This record gives sequence, C-alpha cells and structure tokens, in this order.
Amino acid sequence: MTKNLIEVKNLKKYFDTSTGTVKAIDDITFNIKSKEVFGLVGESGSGKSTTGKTLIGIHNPTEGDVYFKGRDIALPSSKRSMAIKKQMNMVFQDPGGSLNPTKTVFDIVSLPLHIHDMVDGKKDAVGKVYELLNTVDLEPERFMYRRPADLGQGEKQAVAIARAIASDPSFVVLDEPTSALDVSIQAKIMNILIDLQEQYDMTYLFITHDLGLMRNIATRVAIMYLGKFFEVAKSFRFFEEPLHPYTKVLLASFPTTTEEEEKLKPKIKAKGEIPSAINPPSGCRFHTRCPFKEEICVEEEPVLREVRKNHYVACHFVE
Amino acid sequence: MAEHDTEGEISEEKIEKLIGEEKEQSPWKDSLKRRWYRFSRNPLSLVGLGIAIITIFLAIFGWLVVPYPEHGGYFSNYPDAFIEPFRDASYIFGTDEYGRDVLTRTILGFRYAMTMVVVVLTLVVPSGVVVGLVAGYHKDTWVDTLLMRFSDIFIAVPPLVLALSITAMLEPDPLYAMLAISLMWWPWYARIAYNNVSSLINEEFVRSAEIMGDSKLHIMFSEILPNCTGAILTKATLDVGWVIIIGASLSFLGLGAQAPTPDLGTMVADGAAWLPDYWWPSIFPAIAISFIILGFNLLGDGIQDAFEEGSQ
Repeated sequence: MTKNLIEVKNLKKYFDTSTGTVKAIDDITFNIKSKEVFGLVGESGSGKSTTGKTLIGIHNPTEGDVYFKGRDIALPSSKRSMAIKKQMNMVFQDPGGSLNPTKTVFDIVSLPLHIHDMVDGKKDAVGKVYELLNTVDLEPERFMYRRPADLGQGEKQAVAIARAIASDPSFVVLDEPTSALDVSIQAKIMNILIDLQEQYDMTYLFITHDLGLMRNIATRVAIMYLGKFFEVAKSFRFFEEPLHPYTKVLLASFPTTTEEEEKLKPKIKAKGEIPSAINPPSGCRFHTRCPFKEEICVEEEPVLREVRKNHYVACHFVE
Repeated sequence: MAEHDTEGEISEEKIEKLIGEEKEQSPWKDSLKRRWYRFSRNPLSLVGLGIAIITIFLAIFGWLVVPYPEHGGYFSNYPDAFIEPFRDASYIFGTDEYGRDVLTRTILGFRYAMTMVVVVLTLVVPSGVVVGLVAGYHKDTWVDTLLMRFSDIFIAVPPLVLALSITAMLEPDPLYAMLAISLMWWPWYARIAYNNVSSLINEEFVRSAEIMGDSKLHIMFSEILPNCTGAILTKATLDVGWVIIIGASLSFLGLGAQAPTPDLGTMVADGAAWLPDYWWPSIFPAIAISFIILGFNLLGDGIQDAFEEGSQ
C-alpha cells in the first residue's frame, strides 16, 4: 500500500457571483497516492479545473481539508511555505497565456530555479535550462532564447512543462495540457508527460474532459459532475465495467473506428446540457439528464459508496 | 535538478557558447525589428519621428545653429525692429519690437519647451506608473482603494487651474510651473498603468509565478511591468504635446518662463499685443508649437501601432 501524497477531505469551493453562489466543488473527498496519476474527468463547468487550482493554491478552499505529505495546504499559495511551493507546480491549459510574452524561453524556465535558489550564477542556470529543454524534447540551441510568440502551441506547452518540472516537484497538476493543441502534437506532449512521470516518479493530477486519454496515462480516475464525484475507480475499470449512467454517457460519446468497438460501446445518451452550478438539481445532480431517472433520484442525493473493490459509485441503482 | 541528466552532462564550452548566443540571437533585436516594421508601415509615423528628432536636436544644439545667438538674451536693436518676414535674407521670419530675430528666438524656445517636457515626464511617469502598478496588482483591496482614490483627487481638478493657482500662489518661476504640472499629471500614468495591470493580473503567467513562490516585487516589476511598456510609452509620447501646450499656456499668462528667456509661449503672449499688423513675432512661435505637438502626436500613434500586437 503506497502512502497518500495528497489527502482531500470534504472539500468545498464556492464562488460568490452577482447571480448567486456557484458551488464549483461541493464536498469531495479523495486521496492521491504517491507516484500515481490521478485522472479527473468531467465536462466544462464540472469543477475539475477548480479542484486542481485549489490544490495548487490559486483558490482558497471555502471548507474542508487538504493535506500534502501530511501538511495542511488548505491555503492560498501566498500563505504556503516556500518548501511546499517548490514541491508542486502546474501546467495550464492554454500555453499561450501561461508564458510571459516579454520573456525568453530561458527566462521562463529558469524562473523557478531562481525563486528556489537552485542555481549558482548564469552558467549554472544555462546548464540546467539546457538539460530541462532536452528532457521535454526541445533542442536547447534552437529554443533557449526564443520568445513565446515565435513558438508553436506544442512547443509552448513543452516549455510550460519544462518550467513545471524545473524545481523537482513531486506533484504536478496538469489542467487539460493537451486540449488546446493539434491532435498530432497532443500525442507527443502526452508521451513527454508519461516519460517524465515514470522517470522522476512524479505524481500527477491529470484534468481532462477526454476519458479516452485516461486509458493511457491514469492509474485511477474520478468522474466529476457539478462539483461532485460520481465514480472513482482504476482507469481500466471504466472500459471494462462503467457503472454510473453518466460515465456510460461519456463513453458512448467516443468516436469509434471499427464495428467491434462500436458494438462494445454503451448506447445511452444524456438529454440537454450540464445545468448551472448556481442552482444544482435536487437529489442526484444528474437526474435532469439521466435516462434511468426514478423518483428517488429527485428526492435523495446518492452517496459515493464502494460497490466493487476499489470502485466507488454515487448512484441509487448500482448494485 | 541533478537528476534531470538525460542527455548527459553539458560541457563548459557549450555553456559559454550558449551564453554568447544570447547576445548574438538577441531576441530583443528581433522584436525591435518587428516593432520598427510595424511602426514604419505608416509614413506619418516617420514624419513624426523626423519632427521629434529635429525638435530634440534644436533643443540641445539650437545655440550653435541659430544666426544670432545673442538675440536670446537682453538684446535690443531698435532700428531693425519689426522687419517683415521674407523681405530681408538675414531675418527670414522678421524681427520683433526689440529688433531681435524671430527665427533665432523661436529655435531657442525649443530648449525651454523640451526642458519642461523632460523634467515633467521624468517626475510623472515613474511615480504614476509605480502607484498604478502597485494598486493594480492589489486590485479590490484597501491598497487599491487608497492609492487610486488619492490619485482621483488630482484628476478631479482641471490641470490648468491647479497649475495656475499653484504658480500664482508662489512667485512665477519655471520650476514651480514644472512642479505644478507634474502634480496634476502623475495620476494619468497611475490610471493607465492600473488599467493595464488590473487586466494583466488575470493572466495565467502571473498565476504561474505566484504558485511557484515568486515574490510580489518581482512579479510586479519583472513579470507584469514589461507588458505595459507599449501603453506607457505611447501615452508619454502623446503627452509631450500636452506638456508643451500647458507650459506655453502658463508662460502666456506670465507664470512660466520669465524674460528674456526665449520661450514659445511667452513669445506668443508678447507678440499678441502687436496683432494683427505685426503678426510674425507671435505667429511663427505658434506655428512652431503646433509643429512640435503634431510631430509627437504622429510619433505616439506610430509607437502605438508598433506595440499593438507586439506582445502577443
């Protein structure tokens, strides 16, 4: 049994807006084990990005506990110790916005090294940035002094990854790192991420709307919907035996290439769009779209329970 | 970090070479080239740049190129008073009531105007930008409220009125005029920096620096500020004209440069007494003022073009 790197208990994150309180995360509890890739899957508006941003310290939790290696990190990053900030980093969805347009690749990648006093003089910095660029498959001689505007999307994201691993973190939040990229580049970035994780024993929180991506990289996956977890299991389990109707809907929306695959796919569809997180539906939050809806779904909220070994589902009808 | 040695150790020479390449590849030279391309696409920007260069050159070296440097001080030559322009080759712009060469005094007037601009902008740009930067980075906190409401006090007072009352209270002196103008001018830089910064703080590169543990000071001055250069530079260039107008207005009212300092505003004021018969002692400096303002406005527009997509 590997020990937990991250422990999240009853985490809530609400945002007050002019139209009401958005319950972006509404009471979720989970652990991320050391050296594991924990996938977080959901539609936009499900609260998956907010979860990542709360763990990394961009948002301050409204309620609940977050521990990193046993230390309380239910705090915004400005109140966390430098030692903790050194051990975690994040790769953002839009590589364009996460790189300062006025800096060079060298400046960007060496910033965390300078922040954490990990370099001794210019030569040392150049040497370390050189190695980091090599690890993300960017030719250092070509890219070291380029500016973000001169880079392609994939190259920008590689720079963001090099920056994220520069301070030798044990935990990296990947917030849809490939969804802004062309398909051809997505695979390359995914391979870099998988290699790095294996090579440096890092722990990832991998956020995506694409359940298919998870098959290749995640050890465990949580399905999130309107601030709640619907299903948590080892990632292969989702393709063997998806249990929650929403998971089946997600799998049904996969494009398939062969007839065999098409036959294996669950054939259910959800009605409409994800409702607003300001006034989430009563009972089970999925009842407005669920094809198997009964009375109990409207009245009572299902709890996340272990229905198979290490397979948790929040649905009244799963036995 | 030592663990990240996938491609083997990097040699000392390679590092030296890479450091050398920074200067050679010079990403800044590259971006400057791009900016220049966007700037020079509009011929008017080039006209503006030309006027600005001429103005600055005359402000510094005017004494060396004017035909009668001594006409800039106490000088009178009454037999030559009010010579009409374009009649006498030695006085192309004619002479004023003391027989002083209008061309000489107009050119010498550039110095006072530009000194004013340099002093005012040196005081106003850094102070305003720092206030706006700090307030913008702390948007929606008490720091923001305190700094921006304080700067609003100065914005609420019409610039010329404040400058007038200050210089009128104290004795008329160019230095007071400059200080008065600066006092009411810095809030505009606070405003422009604030507006830029408060949208930049939502950028993910700022989030990224914060979660990595970068210091507030470094984030403000090194990560955010360079992204505002274009807006600030544009504003400063466009303001050159405004400072000159206000400076000239104060001089016109007798609160700026004092006789016999050659100053465009004073020349317009003094010459106005002789209008319309003897129009040249006031019209030529007035044209010079318009010329400088036009030039710096065109230059400012050009700089704005150069920076428009520059940071993307």
